[in-house]
Amino acid sequence: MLRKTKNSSIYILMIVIAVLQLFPLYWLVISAFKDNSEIIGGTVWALPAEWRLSNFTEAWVSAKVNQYFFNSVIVTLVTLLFVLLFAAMMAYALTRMKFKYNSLILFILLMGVMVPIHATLIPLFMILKNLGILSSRLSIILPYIAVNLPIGVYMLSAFLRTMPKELEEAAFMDGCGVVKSFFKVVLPLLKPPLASVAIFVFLAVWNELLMAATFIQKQELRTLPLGLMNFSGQYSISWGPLAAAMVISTLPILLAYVLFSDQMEKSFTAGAILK
Amino acid sequence: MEKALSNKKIIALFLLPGLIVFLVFYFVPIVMTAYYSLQDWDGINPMAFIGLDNYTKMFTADKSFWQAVWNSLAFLLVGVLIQLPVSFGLALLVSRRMKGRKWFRNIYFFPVVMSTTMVSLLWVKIYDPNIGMLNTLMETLGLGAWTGAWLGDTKTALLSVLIVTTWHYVGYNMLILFAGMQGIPEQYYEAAKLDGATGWKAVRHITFPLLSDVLRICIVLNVIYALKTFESVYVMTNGGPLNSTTVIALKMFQEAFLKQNFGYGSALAVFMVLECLVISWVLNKVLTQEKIEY
Repeated sequence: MLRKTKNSSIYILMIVIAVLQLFPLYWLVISAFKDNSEIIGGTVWALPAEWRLSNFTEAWVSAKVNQYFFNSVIVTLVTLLFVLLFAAMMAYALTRMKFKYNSLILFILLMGVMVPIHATLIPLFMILKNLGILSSRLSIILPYIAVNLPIGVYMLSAFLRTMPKELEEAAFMDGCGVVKSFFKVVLPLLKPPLASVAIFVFLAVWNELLMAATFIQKQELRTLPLGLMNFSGQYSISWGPLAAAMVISTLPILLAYVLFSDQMEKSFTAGAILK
Repeated sequence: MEKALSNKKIIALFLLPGLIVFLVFYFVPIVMTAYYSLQDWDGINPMAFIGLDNYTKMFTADKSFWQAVWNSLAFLLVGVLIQLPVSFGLALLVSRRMKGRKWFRNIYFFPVVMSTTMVSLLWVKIYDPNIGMLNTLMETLGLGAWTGAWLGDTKTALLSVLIVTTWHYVGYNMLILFAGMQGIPEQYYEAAKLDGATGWKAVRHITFPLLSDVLRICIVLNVIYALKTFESVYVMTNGGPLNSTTVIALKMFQEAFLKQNFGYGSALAVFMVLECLVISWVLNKVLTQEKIEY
């Protein structure tokens, strides 16, 4: 009996915390369908009297969220592709190949895990300016690749160290060169840790604001976080369209979360322990 | 195979593309920041070497620097003393064998994957005196006298931002602690049960000590996150009102890109790096010693 009351009070506690975590998000979603008079005058938790989609079309078209969304997709995909490829190649070379500067390179990469990106901002601005790529997509893609490589290399190396060498040996026996065996044998085996790295990098890049705000000055190249920030400045009075824009930009994350929540948990715990 | 794996050309082919990008866009900038911090420079005109003057200015003349240090400390203290215990409690809750625990874990964790920009913009609206849900909610609950302009008042602004970061990140620590708790063998608890140690006693004598490594990681992580705080403050208050919420990273950003003080901004960046490295090193030392004592 005691056990039972204890259990139900714990349930109630857990539900209360869940409500605290979810209520702001609930408010965001219902606001995205409301107009200003309903938001200001109505009850906080009331559902919209009429589910207006106009906020979404206004955000998507007039506030150019479509453009920001497109920019974020491009920047994230290109970064992801190169981080995964480069990190896998580096991790392979660092764990499997024989050469002198192995530990030195790992040590230098470790700096990239430890030092906050804020410390790179000012020189990066000058480097990008001198290269003439400031305010282009490359101006954030290149630093994003650089920033996310170390964690990728560390996560993949940890996996490679525990991976048996037999399959690669068999590939060599069959006459595959290093490059061929890497792409044909190693990369497919790396799928699970690559998925973890991919999730980690996807969230980091999709959500990044500091570098985008510093290096992207052209309005048409803004990514979602940067676009939304400026959007909120212009639409300081009407919350509905901004809420709609925020719902739109969180959808890919929500989708990834629903599809890969186990993988996401893994990549977060692995990433945290490396940091 | 041995021969193929020590082929210099192939090693270079595998390493160089990533390494070059990393060196040019991460490593070199870190070194350059240290160099810039010794210069008087606006980013346009030629630099003038001024030695440690930027640092002297930082420590003696710039009052808002100390304000920023104190605010970072507030983030640090809230992260370690409030967020972490709450996360520990949540991890205990979601690791109980009960129906729907996975749902609760997912719900508590979800805010973590949302961007700080998004979370901050959302809470700017929640705190908004006109359309915000907080004041409206308080009025509905009969607490109308307590409503205010949360982010616009020097008395409440910092606390309001701290609440948001706590709301945003409790799930992060929870997840790491939860993963750690899963690694504790079930037999320990069963053995403890035979000795009459259940509930809090089991937590105190089994979960807590066996989790000390994970707790150390969480403390260091929270401290570093706190010292790096930028986005939430930048989006919610931009350091205001009257510098009451400013932090080092924001100050560095403003000095460099708004006031064109590239040298001074770099000195602030160097301070941030050293602060992170020194504090995490000290924490690691102190916390490992404690473990040996135990």
